[in-house]
Amino acid sequence: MKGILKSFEALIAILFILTAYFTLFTGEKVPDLETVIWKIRGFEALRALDDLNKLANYALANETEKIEGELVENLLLGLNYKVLVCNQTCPSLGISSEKIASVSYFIAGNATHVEPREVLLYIWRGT
Amino acid sequence: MKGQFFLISGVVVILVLFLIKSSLNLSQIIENKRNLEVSIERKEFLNIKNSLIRTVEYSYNKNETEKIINYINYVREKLWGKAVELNGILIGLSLKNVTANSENIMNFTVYNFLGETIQSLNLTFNSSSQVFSNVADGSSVNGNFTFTPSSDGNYTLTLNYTTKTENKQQEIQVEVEIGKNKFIGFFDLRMKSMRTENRDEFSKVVETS
Repeated sequence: MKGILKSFEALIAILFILTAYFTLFTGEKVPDLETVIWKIRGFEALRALDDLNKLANYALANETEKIEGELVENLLLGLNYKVLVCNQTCPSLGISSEKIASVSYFIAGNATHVEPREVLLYIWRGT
Repeated sequence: MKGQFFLISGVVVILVLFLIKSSLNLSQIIENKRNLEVSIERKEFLNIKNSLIRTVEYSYNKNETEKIINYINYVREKLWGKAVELNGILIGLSLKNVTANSENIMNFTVYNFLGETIQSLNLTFNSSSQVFSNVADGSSVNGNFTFTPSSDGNYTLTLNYTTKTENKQQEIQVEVEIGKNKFIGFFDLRMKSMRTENRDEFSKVVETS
């Protein structure tokens, strides 16, 4: 009889805890600050490359791998990166990740080719 | 007593959950996120502005106004796809081989990308005026003014325009230097998203050959 009572009390305690947990933590979703921080880091990394006058030259030549190589030093570890250079249209990108951020950076071209380009940087976690 | 231990432990756990919840200030986190997103948009606006200035610099002697309009249209279209509006007005002024005590010409182009039609546009320079009407969004008007400088000096171009939503007067300083060719780009640039609006008025002067 005592054993049944103990089990019953334990069950009530568990129900209380679960009710309190779901009431307190499932109503509001905690905003995701991580992807916002990725965007800031990504934007600053692109700007640093632009300040070195490298970004425009790479973008005009569509050398996205060189841009990615230069960005690695300034970006967070453990994340995946992909750079796309858009002319009139942007190339398609197939990434499936629950958490992904994209940063857009515009360049004017350079002294010999005054042609605008949009450099898109995708940052995500996972494969 | 031993059975009540579970209930007491349950109450303690619930109290801990309350403490965690109260220390987690959601409104502060939401506000911080919003501030960060607004700061990103400010950075993006400055990127667009700086690239616009670079376009003026790089367009040296390469049909400056056309290159600038090309840049504006390109960025505008890209932002449009992200539900961000880039609007404004461009005034491009070109002075060629300014000569003292003789009649000189200043060419101008006004490009409307305000997102609405300019109903009336009035430009005044050196006591003469030119009036245009119904300048559609994404279109430009051209013209020229004449002036006879005796030496280096400052002139003022006054621009008045009226749209459905605003009535604005803008004064642009034009520094005239004898013997020099110049391109002056004046911009009123506005970027509007669902979160915030960034706006700046600036000009860029380049000496041409």
